[in-house]
Amino acid sequence: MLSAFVVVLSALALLGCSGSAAPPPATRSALTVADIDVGRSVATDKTIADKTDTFRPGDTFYVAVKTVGSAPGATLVAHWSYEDGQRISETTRTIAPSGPAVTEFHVSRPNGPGDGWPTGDYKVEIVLNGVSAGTEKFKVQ
Amino acid sequence: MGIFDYWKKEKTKPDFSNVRSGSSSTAPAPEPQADGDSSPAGSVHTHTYVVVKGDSLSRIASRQYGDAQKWRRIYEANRDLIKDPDLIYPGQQLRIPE
Repeated sequence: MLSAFVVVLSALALLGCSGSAAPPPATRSALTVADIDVGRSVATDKTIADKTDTFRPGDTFYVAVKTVGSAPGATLVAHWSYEDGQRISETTRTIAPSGPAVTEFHVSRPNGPGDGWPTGDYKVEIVLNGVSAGTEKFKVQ
Repeated sequence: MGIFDYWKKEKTKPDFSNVRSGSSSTAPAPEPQADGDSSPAGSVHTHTYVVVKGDSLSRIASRQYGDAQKWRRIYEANRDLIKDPDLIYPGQQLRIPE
């Protein structure tokens, strides 16, 4: 009889606790990549001003990475590669956004005689905190 | 594919050692750590450079920064990889601070 009373009392106490517990705050703490664009130039807000997937040998490649959420410190890396994976460049930037943000990466090559980007297929992979967030392919012709 | 074909393919690969890169963001860089570390690794923006035959740190600095005297900046960023600043090897991947 006593044990049954204890069980009922415990259940009531639990119900009371769950009923009075405040719901977790609806904040977005994780940082995610929302969009990746490539183009020939960026605007002052770092977004791509001239989107394209076909470049000329003398162009600078830009990639704009839109992130949402916040983080005290997150690492974004842009891996640029050519054709069958030949590495061109790898650029790292650490950011601490407190809301939507745009980070741009760019690569260029001297455009003298015999210089500029060779024609062919290229790609840029964006990695956020060590995890691939997406890849954009483009070409030079 | 024979070794000659492989060599021929490697020989014709474009050289991207003169590529310049950079980045910028609307987001701020992380605050320095409260433990007194005034230059957290995270706040240093870098890109990777692959050493090619004939390179030296000053030559890379000249190409990357336009100033050969800045070779020490590259050396300091790669102390874990470079034991002797006069000895770097083709294929080594060096961090180039921006």
